[in-house]
Amino acid sequence: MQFEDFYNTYFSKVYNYSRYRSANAAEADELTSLIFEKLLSKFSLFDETRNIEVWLFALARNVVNDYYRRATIRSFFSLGSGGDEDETDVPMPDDTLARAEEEDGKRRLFSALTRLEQRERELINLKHNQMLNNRQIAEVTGLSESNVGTILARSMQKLRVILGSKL
Amino acid sequence: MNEKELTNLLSADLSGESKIKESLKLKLLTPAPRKRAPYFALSGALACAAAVIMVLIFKPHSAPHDEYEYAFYPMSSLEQYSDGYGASGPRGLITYITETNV
Repeated sequence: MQFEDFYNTYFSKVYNYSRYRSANAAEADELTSLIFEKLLSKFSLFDETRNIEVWLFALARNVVNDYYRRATIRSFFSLGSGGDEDETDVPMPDDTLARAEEEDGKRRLFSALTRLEQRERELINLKHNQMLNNRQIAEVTGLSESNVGTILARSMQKLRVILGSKL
Repeated sequence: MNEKELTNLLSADLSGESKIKESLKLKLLTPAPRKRAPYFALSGALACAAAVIMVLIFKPHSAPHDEYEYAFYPMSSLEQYSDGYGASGPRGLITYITETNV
């Protein structure tokens, strides 16, 4: 597979993964860019016998973790408040009702997701957005399969409660 | 929000929000221009060139040929005597001077 085909096929998956792990769309763009740069540098080393999505998300996960580790160090030495993690930057809804409802749903979802831990958000994304099974998630995250199931169930319950309380 | 709505929302593709899809693709697929040699590498090359020029200008002298030297100095005063006593011999310098009236 050429890198261009790979990019076209997996751009949305990488962006969605970044979006779930970031505070806003601009940060998701930055993360997506960093992930693809890393993917390009490692693309020739990919072992075709492996599952490409597991490889992709394992690499993306490392890039995002490094990004937030560096951001934590930067904020430690910075004089600014750096408290914009809870902000969501979902575009304003269009004038059509359906679009407005969809945007409102997204806004509420991301607002609720910011109240979960990074790991919980990541697992929800890998399971419900990227459609990986628990074994693949375990391979990506380094957790055990049963642990993945437990955390996922707890995270979804937490998300439902947060969303329910906002209704 | 019911369970179905939540599932739909969680599985929604959000990549439409991205503002970089085409520009990032262009950036990644365009070969990067060759990086210029770092400054320190260039300065190293200059130092080597200067050393070569210095060697060419101030060529080290070769060792003198023995035959040529001894043609002018057949019995150098610095030459060691094989008996280990030097030019005055085992009698000593004073005796030597007295005997030879040097």
